[in-house]
Amino acid sequence: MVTEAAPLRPITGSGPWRGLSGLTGAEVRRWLPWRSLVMVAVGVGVLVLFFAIWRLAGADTEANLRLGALMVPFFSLWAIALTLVTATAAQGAVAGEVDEGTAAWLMGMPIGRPAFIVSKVLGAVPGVIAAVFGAGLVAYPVFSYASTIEIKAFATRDIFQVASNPIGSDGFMQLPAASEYLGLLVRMSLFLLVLVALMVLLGAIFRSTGVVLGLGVALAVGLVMVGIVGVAGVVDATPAGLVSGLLDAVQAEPAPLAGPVSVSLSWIVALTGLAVVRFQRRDL
Amino acid sequence: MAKTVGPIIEVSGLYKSYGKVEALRGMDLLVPRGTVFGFLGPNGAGKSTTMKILMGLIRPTRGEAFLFGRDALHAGPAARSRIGYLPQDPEFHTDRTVREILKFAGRLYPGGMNPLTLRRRVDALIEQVGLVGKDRRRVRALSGGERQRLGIAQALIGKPDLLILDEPSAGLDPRGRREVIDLINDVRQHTTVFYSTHILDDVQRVSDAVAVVGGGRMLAQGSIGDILGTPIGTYTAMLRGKPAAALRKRVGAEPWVASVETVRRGELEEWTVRLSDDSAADRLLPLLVGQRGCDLVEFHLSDRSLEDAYLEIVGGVHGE
Repeated sequence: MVTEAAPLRPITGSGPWRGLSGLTGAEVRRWLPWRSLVMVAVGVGVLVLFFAIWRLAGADTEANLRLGALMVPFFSLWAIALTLVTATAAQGAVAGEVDEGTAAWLMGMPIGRPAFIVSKVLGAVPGVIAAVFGAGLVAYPVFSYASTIEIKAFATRDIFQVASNPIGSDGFMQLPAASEYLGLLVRMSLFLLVLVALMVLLGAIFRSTGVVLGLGVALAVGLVMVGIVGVAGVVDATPAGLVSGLLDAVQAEPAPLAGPVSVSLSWIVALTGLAVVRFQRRDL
Repeated sequence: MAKTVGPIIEVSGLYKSYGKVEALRGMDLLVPRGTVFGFLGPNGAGKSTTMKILMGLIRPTRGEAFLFGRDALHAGPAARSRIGYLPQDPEFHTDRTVREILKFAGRLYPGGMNPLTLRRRVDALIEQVGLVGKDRRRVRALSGGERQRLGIAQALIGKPDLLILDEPSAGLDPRGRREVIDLINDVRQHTTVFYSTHILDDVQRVSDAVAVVGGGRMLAQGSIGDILGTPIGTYTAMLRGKPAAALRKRVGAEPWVASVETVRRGELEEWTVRLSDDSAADRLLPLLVGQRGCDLVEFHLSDRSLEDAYLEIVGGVHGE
C-alpha cells in the first residue's frame, strides 16, 4: 500500500530514552529549590514546635525532659508530614500532566514515553534528598543540644544509666552517632522515593482523581499482604522495612540498613517499570 | 507548487472508539508530499483524533496510518523528530518563560543545535510569530492567542519536514490569522503542511489540496478545484422586466430542478436555479429564453465558494 519510504534522518540517542536528560533536568527544577524548601520548612517547623513543647513540659516532669520525648514524636510527625507533602507533590507528576494536556505537548516532540516516566522518578531524587537532609541536618545539633540538657538535668542520679543503657528501658535514649543518623536520613529519603515511584505508577494508570483511589487500593493490597504473609513478611519484602527500621534507628536500636535499601530500590525499579509499560499504551 | 512525489501521510480504514462513541469510522486520507493540505470538517468529525493517531498520542481501535511511508503507530521519536506538531489548545508548563519553552523544545530535535545556533533560532522564531518583547514572560501570563503563537513557534523549531497543525488560527485575531497564513506560505517551500481549520477563506487562499471529513470518515478529497467542481450545479439568470408567475412555477416543477429562488434588483429579477442533475443545464436555458414580458440578459454557472461546497458535502452527513 505504501509507495515510498523516505529515509529517516539519523538522530542521536536511543529512541525510548530520547529526551531523558532534558526532562529530568526540568523535573529537578520542579523540586528544587522551592518544593524542597517547603519540605525543609515543614521539618524545621515541626522541630521548633516539638522543641518548644519539650522545654516547656520538661520543667514539670522528669519523663518529658528525656531526649526520647523529643526525638520520637519529632520523627513520627516529620515522617507523616513529609509523606503527605511528597504524595501531594508527586501525584501531579504524570496524572497532572496528562490532565492538563502538557503530556500531549511533550509527546508530540521527539521524546520517548519511557524517558517521560523515568524522568519523573529520577528528577525527584535531588529534591527529596535535599528536603530530608536539609531539615535532618538542622535537627541533629538541636538533638545534640537537647541531650546535654538531659544529661545536666539527670546528672546526679542517672548519668551512668544514660551511658550504660542507651536502649531506654526507663526512658533514657542516647543521641545517635552521626553515621547512624545519616543512615536514618537515607531511610527516610528512600521511603519517599518509593512513594514518588508509586504515585508515578498510579498517575500512569489513573487520571488525577484516581490517584487517591489508587492509594486506597495500594493500602488495601498492603493489608491483604499482611494477612497472607504476616507483618514480618511484609516488612522484609516491602519498603515497610524502611519504616520499621526508621523507628528502631530513632530509638538507637539495631536496624540493618542494607536489606531494606536493596528491597526498596527493587521496588522503585519495579514500580517505575510498571509505569513505563502502562504509559506506553495510554491515550493522551 | 505541489511536489507530489509519494504521500507523506497515508491513512487507511482508521477506527477509534471511546466507549460507545465512535470518533473515527473508517477514515482514509492521503496527503501528498510538498503540499499545503487543509483538513476540514465540523466539530467532532474526527480531525483531531486522526492527527493524534498520526502523532502516536492515541492508539486506533483498528486501521493503518503511515508517516513518511512508515507505520505511524510505531514510528517513535525518530519520526517525530521530523514533524512539528501544534495540538488543539496547546498547553505548556506554565512556570516557564516563552524563551525557556523554545530552548527546551529546540534541544530535543536532531541537528546538533549548539547554544549559539539555538539562541539565534529562538530569536528568529520569536520575531516570526510576533512574540518580541514577551519572550521573558512566563506561559501563565500569556493570553490565549499568545500561547497559540508560542505553539506555532515550538512546532517550527526543529525545521520539520512535516507540520501538523490542529486549528492553528484558533484564538487568533484577524491579524494573527493573516500571520499564520503568511507563515504557512513561508515554510511551504521546504515543508509539507497538514492543518485543520474552520476558516474556509484561509483554506482557499493557501491550500493546494483539501479533505472534507464528517462523521469520522472521509467525505471528499482533492484539489480545491476538484472540491468546488464536484457538487451539483447552481445557475444564475438575470431577467429584465416582469416574468410571469407561471414561468417560475413551470421551472420549479421540472424534475431536474432542485430549487428556484428569485430576488428583485431594480428592473432586473435575479433567479438562482439549483439543479439536481447537472447535465440538465442545457434544458434550463430554452425555458428562460423568449418569455413574454421579460428578456434574459445574463445566464451563467454560479461562482461557488469553498464554503458552499463544504456545506453541501457535510450537509449530507448531518442529514444522516
